[in-house]
Parts: sequence; structure tokens; C-alpha cells
Amino acid sequence: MSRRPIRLMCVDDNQMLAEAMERRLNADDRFTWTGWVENTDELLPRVEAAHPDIILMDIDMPGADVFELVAKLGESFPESRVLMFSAYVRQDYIDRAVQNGAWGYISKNEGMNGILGAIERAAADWALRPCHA
Amino acid sequence: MIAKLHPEDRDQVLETIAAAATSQGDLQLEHRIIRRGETAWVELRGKVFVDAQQQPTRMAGVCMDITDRKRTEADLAEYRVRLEELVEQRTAELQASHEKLRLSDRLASIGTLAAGLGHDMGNLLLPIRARLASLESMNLPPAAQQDIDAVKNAGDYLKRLSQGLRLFALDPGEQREGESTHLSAWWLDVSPFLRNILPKQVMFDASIPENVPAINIPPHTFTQVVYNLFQNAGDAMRPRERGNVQLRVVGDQASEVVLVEVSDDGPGMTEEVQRRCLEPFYSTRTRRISTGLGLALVHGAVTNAGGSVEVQSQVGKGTTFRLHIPRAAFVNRLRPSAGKTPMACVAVADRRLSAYVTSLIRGLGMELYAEKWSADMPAELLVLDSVNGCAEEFERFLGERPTHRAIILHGETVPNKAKQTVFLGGQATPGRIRQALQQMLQEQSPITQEAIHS
Repeated sequence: MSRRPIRLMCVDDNQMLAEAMERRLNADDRFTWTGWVENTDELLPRVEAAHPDIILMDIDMPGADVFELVAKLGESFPESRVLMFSAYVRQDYIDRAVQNGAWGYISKNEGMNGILGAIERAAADWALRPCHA
Repeated sequence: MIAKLHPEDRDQVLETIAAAATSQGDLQLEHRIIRRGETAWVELRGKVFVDAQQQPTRMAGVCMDITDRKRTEADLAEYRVRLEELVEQRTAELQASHEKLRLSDRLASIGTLAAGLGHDMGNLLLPIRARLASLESMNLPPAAQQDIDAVKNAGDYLKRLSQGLRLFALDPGEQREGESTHLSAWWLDVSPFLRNILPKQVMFDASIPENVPAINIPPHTFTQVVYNLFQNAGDAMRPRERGNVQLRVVGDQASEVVLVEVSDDGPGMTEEVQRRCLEPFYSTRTRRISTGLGLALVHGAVTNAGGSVEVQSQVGKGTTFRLHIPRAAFVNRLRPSAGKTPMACVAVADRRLSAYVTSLIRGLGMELYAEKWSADMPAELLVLDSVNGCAEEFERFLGERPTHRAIILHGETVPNKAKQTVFLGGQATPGRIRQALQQMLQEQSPITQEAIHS
């Protein structure tokens, strides 16, 4: 990856989380915040418009099969890498996410530095798995 | 006739007959007689005849044998009593099972509530941590930084509490492939939660060696096992002014079975209670919520994991539960000499798959050999796309060191090296790769394709 800031998009139904992440990432020149997607129906057009490098995607989105969405994103936007972001750390979820094209899986219980480091490593080709998964 | 009257009925029969004669009323009487040495029942029905002066002159009537009827009536009465007893007993059982069902419903609701609470707490804590991180990046004065540190500490505690709640609330019977508990990390997650179930006056501490291997039981099940032991210890010591609960783990990398000991210096158990405490529905609690399933759950979960439970208790001294739990199924057998960390090389062109395999290998405790692979590289495991174009080199890698292993994701297999290789063909899915890695690293004996696909 180039040294330009990593363009990041967050897909999560938790507004407080998205706003806090936006604030944190905007204060860090390693990252560029490209937006928050609350409704998965809007996801594909939003990705098409914003060209994120990394899509941080909650695994538990209302009304959507997130694993199918990951596969669709991989087909339509192979240059964007999906990182699953969840409080549920389960080996079967991790395997299914990677099987469908995700680049990794980050636990929401990680500290902020751990999360940001994981995003950087994903942008530099390291797939991620949470500790003890 | 009088001679045949049953001695116990004689007076009453004579009195009744005399009264009938006096009153000149009809006579009807059931009583016992002795007939051929056995008791029989008869019914007397008679009428008193009088003369012109209304004086009784004679009595005429019949005497019927009603023994069979009386016996039937007695049987019926006995059946009725037994039926009433049975109805009473069944009603009590029904009430008890209804109560258990109600309690199970309640516990299930508490579980759902705890899981939801744990999840929501976790979801709220992440934005709090993100906001704190934003504040920290602003070069605040030292006093403000101290405040932030204090909030972070509180947040960390809440994070562990939420994780503990989630572990507590999952179904203990639910087991997913490959789940094991890393005790040191697990303890960090659950200790705040477990602290809260002990009374304030009870001190607790834990001793867990750093090098203890993971144990073959999912973290949520193990949490519920220890939760039940802590809860029992806490309940036993609640009326006391002080007490101690200790969790002690004994085991190291060489241990096939890890000992987890939970002990207290509470009132202890009698021999009877000690003998029965692991039975389902056995409880000494008469109040509070009790299903009598706590220690039975402990026993069930540990034996399901291939382990065993031992109880040692002395009245007035305390109780110790010893859980012997096998280490997790995965054991990295690729342990080179001199305690070196085993190394692996990943030669996979797909960058995402390569990254995934790399992370798996690191997760299994191996180091990565990052240079291009060769037969002479200092790595014991090779994961590669195919042996196309490098068959000779590949054979040399395996041939010179028979303990070396390889996983081939695509392309052709290498038939004469089948004992050292796993060929995934078109099935190089993440799950298959992970399974292949685990199987391969824990097998000392030759690996077979069937072992992976079984």
C-alpha cells in the first residue's frame, strides 16, 4: 500500500460508535474517514462513491446477511478490503467471513491502538484474527 | 346365634335388638359373626310383632350374608384412600416441576438479559474508549490526563465485566469446534464478574501459571463452571464475618491434564452432602433461587470435556473442588530441539489467503519464515499453492527431514510424500486450512488425507 492515508468506511448501526471513530480517525493523519453507513441497503452505492481502502463492518447488522454482503463487496469492489468488526469472537464467524472474502476480523474488545494497528496491518496485507479465537 | 356373634359386636347387636323390641320399630343392623373360625358379615332385618296390649311377642326377619359386599366396600375404601394419596403426591410433583419450569424460565430470562446487557455495554464502551483516545491526542495538562487514565481504568473494568456477563450467559452446552480456554486471558475477562458474586467480606485470589496450556472446554462453559463453584462458596460464607476463596491452577506445557482448584475456608460439607452434592436437583438451600443444578452442571460440563471432578470437604474447615481438565486438543508437535519456536513458511500467491494462513500460523504459536521457501530453509512447515515447477525442491524439503510437513492448497498432490503432506485440492477453504494445520501440527504419526476430511 502507498503511504497516503488509509481511507476508511464504517458500517455499523451504532451511531455513537461511528461518531466516536470518526472523531478519533479525523485526528490521526494515518487515516481518512470516508463515512458511516448505518443502512446496508446504501452500502454498495456508498462504497462506489467513496472508494474506501478498508471497510470496517459490524457483523450484526439488522436485516442483512453480512457475510453475503462481504461476498458482494469483494466481487464489485475488490480494491476495498473488508474487516469484520464484532463483539462476537467465534471461530465459525471468522472462517465464514474469510471464506466470503473478508480480510480479517477484529474484536470490539480490542483497545483503540489495537484496532487502529489492525486496520493498518490489513491495509498492508496482514489478515487479522482476534487473540484466543 | 348369640354364640356366633363377634365378641366385639356382641353388646351392640344385643342392645340394638332390645331397643327395637322396646320401640317396636323395624330392625336393621350389620355386624360380624364368627363362622367356621372366620369372621363374616351379616345384615339383620327384622320386624317386631306385638299383642293386643302392644307388648312385643316375637320378632321375625332375615339374616343375609353380606361378607362379599363388605369386602368389596373395604377394597373400594382402600382404593379411594390410595387414589387420594396418589393425587396428592402427583399434584405435589406437578407443582414442583411447575416451580422448576418457572425458575428455568426465569433463569433463561436472566441469561438473555445478561447476554444483552454484556453486548450493549461492550458496544457503548467502544465509543467511550474512542473518545478518550481522541482526548488523549490533544496534549492535555497532566491533571486532565490523570482523569482520562482513571476513566480508562474504569472503562477497562467495565469491558471485562461485560465480557464476563456474555461468557456467563451463553448456553453451557453449546460447543463450537476447536474452542478452548486460555486460562490467563480468561481470568482477566471474568475476574471482575466473579468478584461480584462473592460477599464483600470474602477475599479471593487466583494463581495461574503463565505457561499453563489451554484447556479443552469453551470459555463460556468454563466460566459457568467456576461461577457455580464461586457462588456456592460465597453462599456458604455469607453469614460469616470473613472468608477466603482461592482459584489455583496447576499445569505446564508438558501437562496433558490441567488441575483447576477452587477452595474456600467456609463451613464445609457433611459426608452425606459431600457424597450427593454433584447429583442433579440435590440442594441444601431452602431459600433463594436454587435449581439444585449448579454442581451437577459443573460435573456435567467437566466430564463432557473429558475431565473429572473431585470434592474434598471437612466440616468447619472448608471445601475444595478439584477439576481435572484435559489440555486443548491442539498440541503443536513440531517442537524442534533447544526450545526453539517452530517456524513455518507460507508460499501462497493470493494475498488475502496468504495473510489468513499467516495469521493462523502465528495463532498456533509458530514463527514465520518470511523469505522465499527452499529445501534448506529453517522452517518445519511449508504451506504452498502447488508443487508445479518445484517438485524436485519440494521432495528434497520433505525427503531430508521426515518430520517436516507441508500443506498444498491447489495443484497436484505428491503421492510418494503423502505421509508428510496434506493436499486440499479444490477445498482450500479457511475452515479446511485451519483444520489441516491443526491436524498436521498435533500428529506425530503419519498424516493421511482421511484424517483431514474425516
